[in-house]
Amino acid sequence: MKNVILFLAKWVIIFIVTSVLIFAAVRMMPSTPVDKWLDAYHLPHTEENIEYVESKMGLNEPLPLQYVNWIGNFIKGDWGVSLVSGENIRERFMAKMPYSFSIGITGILLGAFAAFFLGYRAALRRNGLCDRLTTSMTIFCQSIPMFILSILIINAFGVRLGIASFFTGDGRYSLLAAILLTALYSVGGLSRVVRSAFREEMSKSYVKFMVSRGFSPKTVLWKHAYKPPLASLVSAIITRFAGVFGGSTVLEFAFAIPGLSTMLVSAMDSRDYSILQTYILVVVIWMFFVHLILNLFLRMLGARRSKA
Amino acid sequence: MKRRLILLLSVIMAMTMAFALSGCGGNEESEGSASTDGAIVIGCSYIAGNTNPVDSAWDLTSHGISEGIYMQDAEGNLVSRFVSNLERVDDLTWKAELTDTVKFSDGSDCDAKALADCMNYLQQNNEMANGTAGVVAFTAEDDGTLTIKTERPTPVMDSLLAEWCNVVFKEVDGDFIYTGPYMVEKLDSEVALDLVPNPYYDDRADQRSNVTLKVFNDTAAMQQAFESGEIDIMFGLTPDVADALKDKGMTVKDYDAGYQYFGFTNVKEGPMADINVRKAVNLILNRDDMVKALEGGRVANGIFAQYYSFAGDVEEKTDVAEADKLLAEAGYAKNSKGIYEKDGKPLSIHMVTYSARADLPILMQLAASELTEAGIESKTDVVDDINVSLEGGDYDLVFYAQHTAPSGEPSAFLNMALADGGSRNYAGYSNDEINDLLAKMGETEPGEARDQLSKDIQKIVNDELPMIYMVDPQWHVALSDRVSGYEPYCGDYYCVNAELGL
Amino acid sequence: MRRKYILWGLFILFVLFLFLVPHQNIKLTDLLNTCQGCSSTHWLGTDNLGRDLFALMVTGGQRTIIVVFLATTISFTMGSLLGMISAYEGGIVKTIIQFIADFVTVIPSLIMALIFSALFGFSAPMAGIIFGIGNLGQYINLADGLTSEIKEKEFISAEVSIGLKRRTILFLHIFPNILKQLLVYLGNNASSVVLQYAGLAFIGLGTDVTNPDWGTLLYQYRGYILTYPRMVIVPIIAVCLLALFFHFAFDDGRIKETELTIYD
Repeated sequence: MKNVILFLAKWVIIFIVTSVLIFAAVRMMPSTPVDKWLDAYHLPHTEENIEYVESKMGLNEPLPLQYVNWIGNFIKGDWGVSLVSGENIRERFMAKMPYSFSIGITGILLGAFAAFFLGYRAALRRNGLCDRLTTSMTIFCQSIPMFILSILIINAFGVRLGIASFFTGDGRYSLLAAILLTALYSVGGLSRVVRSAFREEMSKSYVKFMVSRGFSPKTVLWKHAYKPPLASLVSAIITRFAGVFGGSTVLEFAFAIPGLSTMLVSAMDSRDYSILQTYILVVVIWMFFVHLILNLFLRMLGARRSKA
Repeated sequence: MKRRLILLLSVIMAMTMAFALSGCGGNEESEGSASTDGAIVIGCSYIAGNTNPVDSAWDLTSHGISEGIYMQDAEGNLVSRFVSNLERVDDLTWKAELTDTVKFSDGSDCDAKALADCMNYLQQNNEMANGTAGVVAFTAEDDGTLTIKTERPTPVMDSLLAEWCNVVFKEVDGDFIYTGPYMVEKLDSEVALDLVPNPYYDDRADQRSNVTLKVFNDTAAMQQAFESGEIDIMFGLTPDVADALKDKGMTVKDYDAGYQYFGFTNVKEGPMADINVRKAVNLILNRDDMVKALEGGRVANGIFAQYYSFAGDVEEKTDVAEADKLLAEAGYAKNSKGIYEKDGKPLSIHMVTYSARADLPILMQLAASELTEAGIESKTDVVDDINVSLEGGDYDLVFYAQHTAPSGEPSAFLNMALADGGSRNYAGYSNDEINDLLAKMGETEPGEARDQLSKDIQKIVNDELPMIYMVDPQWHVALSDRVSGYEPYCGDYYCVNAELGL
Repeated sequence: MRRKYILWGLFILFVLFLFLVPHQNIKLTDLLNTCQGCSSTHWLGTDNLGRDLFALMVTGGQRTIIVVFLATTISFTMGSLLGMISAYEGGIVKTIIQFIADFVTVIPSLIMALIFSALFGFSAPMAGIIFGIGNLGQYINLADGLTSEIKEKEFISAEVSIGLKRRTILFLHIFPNILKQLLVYLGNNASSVVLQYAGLAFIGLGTDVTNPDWGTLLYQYRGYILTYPRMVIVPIIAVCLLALFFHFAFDDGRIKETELTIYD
């Protein structure tokens, strides 16, 4: 019970601190949405123009009032409207979320799934095929950028073979390619995590004991020692899930997928305070749920995790 | 236990996968079917955020949805589908006779009253609309005559009516309808915009196809989309992509951008505050190489695109020997390493540009190379937000791109960049002669006299160099066979024009 | 062990080479000789504006090394320190440090980069700092977990009971014990900073080729992958070598006799 309260209290504090920080940070940026708006239309930055756009965007109110209004409305579920286009931010988030979510979550889970088996095999035979394969995959993801690979994929399947249309139609190919690439780029790192966790279990006395009692070493590892590696894998996934919101810019740009990252970058371009602020808060809420669910999952595994 | 876990994981994954593919697939079905029945797909880097004329007039006109009362044609002349005759009654009053042939996309007539209503609405709701001549009042005298009253006198009413914010529209039940060749069918902001022909635009509406504008944030992706035949028109080609596509035998057209590439010099402080250094740098820049590297365009002869009657007539040349003399006059001499220095300090030019216009960093790299070869050190920066650099004054030379005559008229830009207190006059440049000429320009009716004033000002600028003219660029557009006859013009102001696909 | 010395020796030579080797001025363009192949004047050929790719790679290498060094140092030192303190102290200190770890993890580094560069301007060291902070969370969590395990071992509680100073215990007894695992993590992740840096170019940061690094070269030349693949492959090989070095220097997969398990 105490843990639950602590967990909740921590996230409430994170929420408040983040909201203040981001509110201040966006307003500290040297050029304002007003400047950007005027620039977009090649208009002079005269005082009259600035005043007019400020009042149009509602940025002429005192800062504390702006903050209170924003946070109050956010909690009530009204996320406000974009300063630039006047669109409802929540609706826009909801429209973009399926893309980013499916790329991020499916990709990472797919990667984690493969990583668990590869990591297990890699641990089983040190310097064996799987061990080397997972090592080379980590090196591979660190040397070949996703944006090069995506060009090659599009060129091969879209231009040369002509069997997939990535940019028109229902977008299934671009989504599929983005998911597979995300998975590919998570497998290497995650499988190394699994491998080292398995190896740690191997040296434990209960494993030795069971093997000496005549169980096959493979079975012992697979059937009785899988929980700690799974727990490590889950912990490693947590950090990757942070990237689901706005961390897939490269893929979204390369396949012209209209996800959250694209929206975020354009909001940053126009310095759209209201989208930026709201976005960060949504990320905090998302991470709250990720931590909640994964913590419950870890508890189910019976593993103790150092985090509250 | 473990089996159950694996099962659970598989189910979760299968579900998310199914959700991903079906959920997102469903959203875009209409787009898929549109392309099979022949929509022309255009790849571009942005689309309108909404269809409101106060927010998005510029984009809507560029997409062929809305129209200004006056618009530019390919030669840079102002033409109007609405007004047949525009006449100045007195200093502040104008009378416009209407053509009476234009209809809104719902079939209703665009008469004098409709025009007056929307213009007055814009005057009240968009402060930008009263920048040039104060608040402008429109009154419909009868169906075919419009009286226009301005707060301040202006000799160029047609340009005022051509400003991007003054688009013709009508509000019907909260929806905005326009008069352009296309109308909005579906807008998915920042993703795609589906257009259908406006049946009331002219008698060729049934020959037009549907049009889809699709947003790409990465030119490499757009290039692949074009090569695979998924898009018919690709705007915003960088020179290397244009070159690669030409090599493959695809149709790439170079068209006049209207935008100009030029440099703002820091006349206030730093080495460029010295006129001789400015002149030397101006002589060192090799504009022929710039044009070559950009795969199109012309050496600038002033600050306006060369198809305008008011374009300049200066001639730029490259002359390193002459530059050396000027630098000597400014007190610089080459040291043992071949670098110019004065009082033991090397001459170093800080050049800044921004990444949004991909051609500019190329020009800056060429300039850096030429300065280095001439014996001048340089420091370069590509920034995200160029206005911060310009306002902060931390630069010697900023590479900049702007459409300098968006309303078909020179005085707006010249005032911005050169007049005391002008909004683009970042370095506080001031010249009495130019100020006089600008004042005179504000009173002169369009015609040869006004064009000559513009040329005179551009001449003085080329002597004093608060701006360095560089390139009158051409942009590149890649076209599929189906639209290979399409001729875009005026940069990105009219990406979709009435001739598309005809 | 000897292999490690050789590796480090090679690495130091390589860095010295990057900083000392004479090369053409990277600012020089040559529009008559664009996209040339390898030759004796241009060892790695020239790019689309006729610049010498070898010179770009060398200057880019310096910048890349600086970014990687800064990012890794920041996240490694601060991360392991905070992680150790967190696990050792527990209570409110732990909560605060966990908060920091979660916070920096939650904000995607691209977004952090956008905000930082809007506030302080963008430069290579700045990118190093941003990624250093952005990757902090993982090091904190790792060090925290490892320290918690060690703390429970008997020799630490014995040391606490005989009144050794906290600092001594942390640095002389705990740190050496968790160092190896931390370094393995570092070895497998250090060079990912290079591609993270390249990703920034997509949002318009660090796109200046007159100030190159390997990541932005990759970004700049990505359009040439099909026409002049040399321009893309050269930086990829360089980044790959860096990644291989980090991997073998910190995680060579070989283990001591005592660490062998019944499976080996």
